[in-house]
Amino acid sequence: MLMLPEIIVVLTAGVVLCLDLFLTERSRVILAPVTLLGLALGFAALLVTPQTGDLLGGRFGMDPIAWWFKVIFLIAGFVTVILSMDLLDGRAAHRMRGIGFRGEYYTILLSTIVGMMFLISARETITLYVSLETATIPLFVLTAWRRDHVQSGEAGLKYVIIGALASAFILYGLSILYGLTGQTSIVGMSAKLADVPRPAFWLAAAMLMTGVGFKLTIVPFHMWAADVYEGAPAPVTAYLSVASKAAGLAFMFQVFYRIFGSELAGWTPLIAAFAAVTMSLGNLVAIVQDNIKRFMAFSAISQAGYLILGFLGPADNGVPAMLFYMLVYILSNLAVFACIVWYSNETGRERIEEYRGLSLTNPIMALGMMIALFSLAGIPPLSGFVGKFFLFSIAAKAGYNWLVAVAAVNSTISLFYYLRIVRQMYIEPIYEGAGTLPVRYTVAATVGLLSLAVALMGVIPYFYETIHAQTITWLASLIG
Amino acid sequence: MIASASYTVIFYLLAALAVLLSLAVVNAWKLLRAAIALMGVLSMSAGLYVMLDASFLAGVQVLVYVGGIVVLIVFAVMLTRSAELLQDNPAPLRKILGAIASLAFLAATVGVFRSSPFLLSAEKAPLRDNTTLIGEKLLDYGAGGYVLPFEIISLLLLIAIIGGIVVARKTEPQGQPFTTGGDEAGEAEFRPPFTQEEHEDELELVEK
Repeated sequence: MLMLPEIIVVLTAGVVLCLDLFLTERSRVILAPVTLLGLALGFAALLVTPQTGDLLGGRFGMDPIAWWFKVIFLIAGFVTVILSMDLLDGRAAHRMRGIGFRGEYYTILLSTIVGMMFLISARETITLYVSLETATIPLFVLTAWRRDHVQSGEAGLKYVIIGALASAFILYGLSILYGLTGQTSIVGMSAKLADVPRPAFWLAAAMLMTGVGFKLTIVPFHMWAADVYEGAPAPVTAYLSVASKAAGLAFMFQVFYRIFGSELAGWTPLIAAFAAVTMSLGNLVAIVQDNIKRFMAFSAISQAGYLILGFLGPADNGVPAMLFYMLVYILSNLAVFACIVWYSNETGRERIEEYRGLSLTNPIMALGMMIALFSLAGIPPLSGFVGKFFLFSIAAKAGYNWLVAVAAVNSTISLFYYLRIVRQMYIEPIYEGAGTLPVRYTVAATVGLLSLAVALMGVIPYFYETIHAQTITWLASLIG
Repeated sequence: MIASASYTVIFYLLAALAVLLSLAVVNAWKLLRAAIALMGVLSMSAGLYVMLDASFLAGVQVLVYVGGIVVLIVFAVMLTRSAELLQDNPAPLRKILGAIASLAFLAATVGVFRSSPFLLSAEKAPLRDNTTLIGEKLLDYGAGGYVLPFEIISLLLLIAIIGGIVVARKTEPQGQPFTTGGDEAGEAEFRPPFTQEEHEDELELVEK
């Protein structure tokens, strides 16, 4: 019962794969609705699943944190399928060569979602590592999905190499920890950590930090992001920017809070330095970007910098703040990407200056994109502001006032470059002869719902309150 | 006495060979030679596993790495005709930086491992029948079992195979009317080659 959402998603992957065999090319349009149905059923199962408990002798655990992460993963997957289906079903006005194999595409997408769901529920390091690989290896394939496009293949190859390097670091770190403690279970490892000889422990911690840094695109481990984001098909970029980041955070939670829990307090200067460098570099480089996907890559890097501010404070403030910000971030980012994917589908344009005049041809889409961009920039009363406010206040409470200043300056810079897009959409003159671009109802509904959620989550305190209350019980069980 | 001495001798022999062969992997100018040297390195580590009584691991090492991965590399080298393409000559600064980084990493690792006692020593590990034990652990769904990662890995392998096929597949599947760039008229005439031979014939024609 606890594993029901995962089982449903895996079964959907199997159904999609087998269904693909028996369908003609034209009738394969039903694969996307089947995938969506599976994800929706998984979500429904998640709603009725108890929020605490474990399975398989404690090897698979469920807690409120895992529950919220699974919500995040399922939403990200659901929206990605909606964004992908126009392109894959050939409904895009501007067609891309080499995109096909719908059944395989959805199967692979579903399996990364399952990998991420297992990742946050894993209670021992082997499951943790295997599910991390299940979450990331399919992403390499998805990145290279535009098969006759050189950039896409290059991006896939870069991602494979960097991803393998990061996995090697993580595996090395976990093996050292296993060698030192003789335990594969996370609880057992964490319990024995105090007696572990320090130099070897530091090596393991450094390895894990490096690996996590690659996954979460923390500077200086960020260099793969821009090329991979640019080369991947736009819906895959959307998925990468939200789901792989959420998976990185989930892995970081598992490692930092469950394994290193007691040690974390001593590491805050290092985390603060990483946060400062990450947000500054991401923001400064984003200013000069021209391609919108590259631009979003650097924007995502700087957002990762804000995100890890939550590790600076005590866990009972940090965990809910980071979870809430992650939720806000994926909703905002997906709304932006929904517009990017739609615009690229309709016109084939992916440069920032090519967004000019969008407010005149498609005012609703431009409005949705603007709300989401403002949320990413952190403008009140949108939810991005609220999320940032919680994170900054944690850093301030922990005594990192300089870091809060850096973060505030960075927010201002980010407002400048997010406004560049808004300026193109609202102020720059329209293309000659540009007419209203058709918007499919699925895309319109997605953008509408996402931007509504982005706007409301900042005003209605219910979400943050719920996350906060639930994580408190989680922490009580972890410490007690 | 003699047994332990020969054990030590064999260990150092295997270790020295592994190091030498690794150097050969990195320094070989031809990809194929590097692959063969890699095969040697992996076999040497299989030998080390045997000496540690980890017979299952040694078997897997030979089957998967020596028999599978290196053969795959050799295939890739032969099929892509890129065996001679290794003429990359990095700038001296890069070489120096690379050397410094790897030496620093070596020093840190050796230093750490010398100064830290590891809990798992050979005496504690079960010496006999570890293949049976591993098999039981992998399918055990109780507190000490690993059935969950075992199942997740099967999903991972399936997805990796599917993904590999999709990425590597050369021809569009027949009748994908929506996805070949919108050129409907051309799509009607577009017929992917059915067999490898036909495909090669076509390639030859193109080359002529």
